Amino acid sequence: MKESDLIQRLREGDQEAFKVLFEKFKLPVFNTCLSYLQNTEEAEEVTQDVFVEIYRSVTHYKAESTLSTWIYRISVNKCLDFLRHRKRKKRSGLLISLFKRESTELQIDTPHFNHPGVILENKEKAALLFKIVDKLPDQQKTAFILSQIEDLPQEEIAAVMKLSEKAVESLLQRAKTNLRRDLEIFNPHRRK
Amino acid sequence: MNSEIWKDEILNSMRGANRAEPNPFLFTRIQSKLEGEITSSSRLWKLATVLSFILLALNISLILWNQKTTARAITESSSYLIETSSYQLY
Repeated sequence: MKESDLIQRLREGDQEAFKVLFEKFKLPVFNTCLSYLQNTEEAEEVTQDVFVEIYRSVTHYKAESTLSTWIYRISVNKCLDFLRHRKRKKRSGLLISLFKRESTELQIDTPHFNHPGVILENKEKAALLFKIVDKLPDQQKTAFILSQIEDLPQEEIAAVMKLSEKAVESLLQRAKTNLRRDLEIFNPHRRK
Repeated sequence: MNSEIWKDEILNSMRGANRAEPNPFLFTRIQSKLEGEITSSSRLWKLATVLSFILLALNISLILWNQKTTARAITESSSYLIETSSYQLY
């Protein structure tokens, strides 16, 4: 089915077209969410929200960008919103724990995340990568995830982030520099 | 092993990884969420329609009641004028 036909049918509320769209984009959406949130249940929750948003706002979709770019943009925004919400919750949780003696064992650090798609020999390395990616600022994180994990071309990343390709390149460079710096702490070859 | 090579390995550890599959029931969950939203929004519309009808009916009855009382007041005051004029001495 052509993209324009799919969009037209979606605008008419065609459930079959929605299923086709879901099957086509479920993996990129879910895996992007998984890279940001590093938790399967939360990634599924946000994937659900992304598809609901697509269904609701397809009437406002203008073909200025490709369908894939538009869907990636919705996914990235939903993930960043979710992360902000999670951060706020953690902060308020921390405040509550200051007043409640029983809940002092509050977990602040991101738990160890094992991506289900990674081969066994890379499991530990990928877990370490996710741990340090989580500490990156939002824009650098987005550039890194879309480029190094989702394997999108720089042109599409620029379209998703509404930035120039040069700006994306610079974000990626900064992200890699920061990641290398953070990796130094975990480096087994580090001179003491 | 050189530490820079080790860092490169970490940064590229997701390259070639398989994509993770979501729950097979995810689409059903999305559909039921959408249906739930549609039902609740149609319920909201029904409620809004009923409320606007009630408001309209109240407004109309208020206008009618107002008109009646004004008409009665005019009749009463005019009959009073007639009465008072009949007591006038010429």
